[in-house]
Amino acid sequence: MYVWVYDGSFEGLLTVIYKWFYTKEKPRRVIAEDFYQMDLLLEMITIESDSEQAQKVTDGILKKLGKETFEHIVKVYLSEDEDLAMITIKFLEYAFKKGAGVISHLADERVAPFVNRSAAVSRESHKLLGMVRFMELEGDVLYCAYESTYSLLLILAPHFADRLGNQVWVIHDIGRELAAFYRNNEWHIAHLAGDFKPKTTDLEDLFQNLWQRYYKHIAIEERKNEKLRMQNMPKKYWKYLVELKK
Amino acid sequence: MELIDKIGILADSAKYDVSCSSSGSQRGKKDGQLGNTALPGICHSWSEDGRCVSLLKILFSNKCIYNCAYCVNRSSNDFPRAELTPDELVQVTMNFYKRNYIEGLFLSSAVTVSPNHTMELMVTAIKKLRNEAHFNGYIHLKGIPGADERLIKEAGYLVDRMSINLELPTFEGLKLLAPQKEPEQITKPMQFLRDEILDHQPKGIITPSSVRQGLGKFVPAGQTTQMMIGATPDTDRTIIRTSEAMYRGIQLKRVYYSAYIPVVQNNSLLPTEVKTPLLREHRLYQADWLLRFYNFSAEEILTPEDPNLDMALDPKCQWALRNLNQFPIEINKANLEKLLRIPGIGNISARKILATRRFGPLTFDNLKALGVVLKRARHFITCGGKYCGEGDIEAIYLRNQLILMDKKPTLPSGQINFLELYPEVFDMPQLSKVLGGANYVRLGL
Repeated sequence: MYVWVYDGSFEGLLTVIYKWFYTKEKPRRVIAEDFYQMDLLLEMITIESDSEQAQKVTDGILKKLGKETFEHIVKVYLSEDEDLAMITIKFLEYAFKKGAGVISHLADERVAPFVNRSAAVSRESHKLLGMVRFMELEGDVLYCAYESTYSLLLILAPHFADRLGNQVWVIHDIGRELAAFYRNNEWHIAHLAGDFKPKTTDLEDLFQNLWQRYYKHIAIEERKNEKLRMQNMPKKYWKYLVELKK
Repeated sequence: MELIDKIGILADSAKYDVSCSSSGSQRGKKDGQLGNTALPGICHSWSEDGRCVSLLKILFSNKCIYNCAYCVNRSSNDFPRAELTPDELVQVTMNFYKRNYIEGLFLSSAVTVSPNHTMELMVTAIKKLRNEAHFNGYIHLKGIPGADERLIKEAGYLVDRMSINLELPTFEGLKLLAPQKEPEQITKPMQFLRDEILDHQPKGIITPSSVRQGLGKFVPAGQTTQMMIGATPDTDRTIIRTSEAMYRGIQLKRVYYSAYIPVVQNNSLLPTEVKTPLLREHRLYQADWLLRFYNFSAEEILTPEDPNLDMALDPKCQWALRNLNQFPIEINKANLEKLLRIPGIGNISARKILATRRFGPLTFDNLKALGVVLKRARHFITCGGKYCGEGDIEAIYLRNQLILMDKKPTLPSGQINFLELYPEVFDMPQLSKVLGGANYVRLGL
């Protein structure tokens, strides 16, 4: 009995998917190295990422199952779930057999975990598309710091490339110490230390104060509903919200 | 006056407008411009009352010449007054948008000097925002009753959504509480907007993509309205029938309801006591949903014998109890319209049921696994012929069961996000663009 261990990259995931479908003797588990714990009953095999195989899998999925399925795979990957490789493989086995339509078969145990992980990532990313805050740094750069449960840069970056297309910006995932850097219609992701201290412009305080004042006044006193607010805007996201800064 | 004080005053004056939705428009980025719009809308924050903050909702001016009894901005109210300049409005909107505080602007105004003067000021500001500051985000503009059609039309090409408030459910109410506003000043521009919107819509067969691209260049996110409830003695039936006429006749996207909450003031025209105003508002929103998304008619929701909603039960349950002969409904056979009539089953659950049962018949446990909430529904369904409730399908018994489980109705706000209703509409359109082929390698993942 084997356990396959890959490097945790997206390319690595695609590589293990490729190998799964071309190996007769399937491993018992497939897991990213960060989650791997020694197991005396399972023999470990390290799977090296292979960009050629990864590309073949990508092409195959896009051709046979469509881009929607591929987006689900990306989102499941971004969930950083310990079992994401097995969840994805089990779904793909079923989907390659019966077609992309099986995504609707929510009562099926191969489909439900896959769709649920993807939906959880969609939900958090939708929340954060609205709840991340930018500030203006010297040199005309907009900077945004946030923390999230799932890895969302790949979703946030294209959204803001469209929305703030005529700006220069940095979106910083503090927890993962990664940032998306954008200018002139192009963005890339690179390392940025979690303790990076931005230097804001003089005008920044003015607009933060304006926004705080606005936020305070837009609530209707007679309708105060703390429970509803918390439900919509869980406390774990408050840290970076300008309107809730003391 | 400092800008920050103006913002506080004019937000105070604007906050009773319920709408903050930024949905209904899908516009990609344009070169050299700031912003885009997202079809389902995006909430950016939630205020202390739990309502979603999506747009910068603000009055241009709260210096009102009218004295409508129910309104905080009425001329006789001793209340701080302020007015923005177009430049201030542009500066605040652009800077809030850049920081991702907001999805766009919701601009309204008290009637200052005259309706035309007010509308002119607002259009000037919006023009500046679009043409000089190159703002491409969402704009919702309030139409001022009594303003020239010429101005309404000019505005229509600049904004995503427009609304003209009905103010009250009946003309009688309006005459009593807002005597300076003529009913025709409200209904005529609403009809005018409907006709213009229709004129600008793509002709021929409507497909999802033609809807997305070609909603028209004129008020692409459509028209909405708002009315106050509880300030006049109108029944819920009157209100819901008015809404139905607004949806079917004027083709509005939304009708918003705002509960009148009595405040200390000496006005014999207004009630001094209103029972559970927020609960009534909540029930009206539920009834409104039945009109919009569940294919109910006003006549079905409220009968002449029972012209008011039961505060203890949601309107769909009320309807079901009056129509028990239509139940139980077989989950594995019923079509979408039938499924949507089952109390406790919403759009999401109904669509899940339809999608999943193609793979085989569903049992009660399957429904649970799908995440369908069954505490109400189980009294009204069968799964494979098996009845899932306890006891009989009998009105009094069921009513008690349903009320027992729902002792304290919770009060969500009227701001329900489009996404929560139709998650399947929402996908991340750009993701595959970025991730197609070998791009993930370049991204270092």
